[in-house]
Amino acid sequence: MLLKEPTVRAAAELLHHAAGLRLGLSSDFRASRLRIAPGEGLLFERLGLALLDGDPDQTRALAHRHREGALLLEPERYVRAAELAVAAAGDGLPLSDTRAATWGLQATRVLSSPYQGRGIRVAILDTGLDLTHPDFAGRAVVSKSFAGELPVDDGNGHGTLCAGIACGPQQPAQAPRYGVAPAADLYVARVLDDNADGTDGNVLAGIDWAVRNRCAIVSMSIGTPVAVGDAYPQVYEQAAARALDEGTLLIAPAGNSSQRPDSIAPVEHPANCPSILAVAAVDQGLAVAPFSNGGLNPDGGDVDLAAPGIAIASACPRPTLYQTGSGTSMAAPFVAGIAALIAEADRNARGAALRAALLRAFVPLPALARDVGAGLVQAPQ
Amino acid sequence: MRINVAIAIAEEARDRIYEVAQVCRALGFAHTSTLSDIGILIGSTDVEDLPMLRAIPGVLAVEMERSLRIAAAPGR
Repeated sequence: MLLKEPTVRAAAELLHHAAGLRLGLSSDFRASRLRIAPGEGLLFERLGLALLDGDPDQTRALAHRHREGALLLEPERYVRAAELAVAAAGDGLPLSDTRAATWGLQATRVLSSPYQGRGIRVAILDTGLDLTHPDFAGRAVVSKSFAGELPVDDGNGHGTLCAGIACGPQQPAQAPRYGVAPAADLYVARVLDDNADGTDGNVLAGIDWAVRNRCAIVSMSIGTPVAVGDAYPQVYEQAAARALDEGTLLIAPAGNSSQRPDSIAPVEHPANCPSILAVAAVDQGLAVAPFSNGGLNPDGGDVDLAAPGIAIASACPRPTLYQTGSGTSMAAPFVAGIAALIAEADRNARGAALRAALLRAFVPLPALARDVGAGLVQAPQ
Repeated sequence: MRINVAIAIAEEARDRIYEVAQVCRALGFAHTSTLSDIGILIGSTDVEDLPMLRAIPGVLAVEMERSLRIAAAPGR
């Protein structure tokens, strides 16, 4: 049950008066004792949620308050992580690209989604885009360069690859489908040079541009390493929080500094900001990619979701046209594209509401939350 | 030493961002751009002036600019 009361005390009183439930606080329980008896409830005070075991009368009383809009009541579900992960991967064998689509689109159930991101503005902050690529020619692309005098045209390839993953076409000219949200409105901000280097100033200017253009989603496959114990940057956190308030969700990669299983590096800047969604990478067997960083730092330094990030086929500047890339750089635009599908499906899903909806759109994986967050992102069906 | 910085304007001062920028400039901040939608000023300053900039009413944080790179895996 999702509580709408502003304080723990108010929520506890509502549940007690409405249904006579006795409440405990989750912070008082050890994990091994996370049980509730009939007529009792457990309040997760930091989440604004309560788990309740009400009799039929109590449940009816709460349902009444649900209809009044005072709370959201949902039956508890049982999840079995390993089976669900296998279901996502089909027969449990590693996925592979087919003539129809890349393995990443299969793993995230994009192909069966009725949504294409129509009417949703997605900004890609990267090395630009090959605007004359046959898969983007004829597509309305709004673009601007924040990388000095450099044009938007991609002189590196990384930007075209990321834009392709998030927003590539339904039917590419000469490749299987690789794009998540083919009908999204594509906004391209070039913030990195041809060597794929940039600065905070360029990136922040790109974020500001995306917010001003009312983009619902910003995908920025960039980062810089941080140390264990480092705090998140206040400037980016403020930028991201204000963007959320304006209806723009920022998505960034967890980073690629790990060398699993020997070493795990913390989620990088700027994905380590609480208001920026951090994305880890998984392979074709849905195992954590060996380079994918983990949630080692508190206060925003955790991984939120995982997405495909190894051997990801997508667009490449002419004349090559197509390439394959690996990295959390590839995972972040998967999540951005799926955010566009969710935003199309629910017109109220913008800003913090889109972030919340995205964090419910996953299938659990048999891996630590430190490494994959909630689980593997899934397209709305 | 001169460094590039980003200055975050506090929420309560957002509608005064240009006034806060003016005070920053008066204290040696070379102001190159104003990101008004996210409340941030971009520019450069002398390292020794950082404490002074941080003490300006309406300034939430002043951070040195970092370099960023793509997050492609090694050997891509």
